[in-house]
Amino acid sequence: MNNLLIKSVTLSALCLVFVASQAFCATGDFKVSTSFKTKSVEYRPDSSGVASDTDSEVYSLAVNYGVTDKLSLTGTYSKTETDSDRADGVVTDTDTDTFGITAIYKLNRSFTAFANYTYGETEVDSVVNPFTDFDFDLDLNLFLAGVTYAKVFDRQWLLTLTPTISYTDSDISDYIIRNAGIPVDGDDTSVTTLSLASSISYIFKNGVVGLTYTHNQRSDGEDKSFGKLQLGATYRFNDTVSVSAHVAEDIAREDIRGREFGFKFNIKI
Amino acid sequence: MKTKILSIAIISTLLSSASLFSNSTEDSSSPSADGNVENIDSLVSGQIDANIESQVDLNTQNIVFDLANEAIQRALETTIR
Repeated sequence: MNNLLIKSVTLSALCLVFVASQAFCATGDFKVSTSFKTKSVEYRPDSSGVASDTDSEVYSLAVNYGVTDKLSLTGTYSKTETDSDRADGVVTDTDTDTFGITAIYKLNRSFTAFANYTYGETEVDSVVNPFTDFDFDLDLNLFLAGVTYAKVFDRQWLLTLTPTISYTDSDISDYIIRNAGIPVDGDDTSVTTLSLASSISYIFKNGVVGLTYTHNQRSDGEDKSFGKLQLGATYRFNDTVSVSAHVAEDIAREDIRGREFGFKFNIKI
Repeated sequence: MKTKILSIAIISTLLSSASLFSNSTEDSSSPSADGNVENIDSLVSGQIDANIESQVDLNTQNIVFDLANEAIQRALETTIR
């Protein structure tokens, strides 16, 4: 364990030295993007036979800084507001704030490595009936790393393959169910996810249209396997401004049926 | 804790190897008839970045979503009912 710790600290130090050395030849390019996304999910009946509907709105602001031609850093803030209605009348409001930083390093024309750390705070407020309710906090730390392989065919088609590994550590606070006076112990959960995203995109004069399928294998005590299909398009008005939109659907998940729509506005400073 | 350390090590290793392999950059671009290579490179690069962002988003949002929902279900099923 100590050996592992020393190796990890050494590798992290090397990483910091690398990033700092790259920063000395910064390109100085800034890109700012704002996005809005809606997601609706139908949860199929759970073990108690109750189904639910959930609607979310996600607002994000991202700032990307080109440290060099190869290395860029992106800081992201997202706010998610979710309303959930269960068939048995339980209503839940969920507010999530996430702060993330992503390092993207282009190894060459084919390979791009990336790593992300995200911290999230979630407040959950559930009303069971007019006399009973509870609320708790969920804190989350996520570490993610991956590599993208990209290949352009005939100067118009782009194929990408992106394997990703992520580790999430979450902590739910202790709370009390009001009026019922029942204390509930918090929970500490860790989740490891392996993902493989494959996409094919068509490049035209001022934009890109792409179809992406991501397959996820999640392990959190029990293994879960599911996928997501996404159709997206980006139109570039000029060197400074571009807009993107996407629709996506969760597929091959036994417990939910989810759809989302997103819109993004990018500006280069 | 052990898994967290391993994750940090993986991220560090990826970034460090990026430095080692950075000299192997190949330039396979060739000027097109309309001299539009730069535009294509920019679009490809933007699409790769968008894919990466989508993966980060997928992992973050979906996991928060699922963890919160599972916690609510646990509270309702094991405590109230």
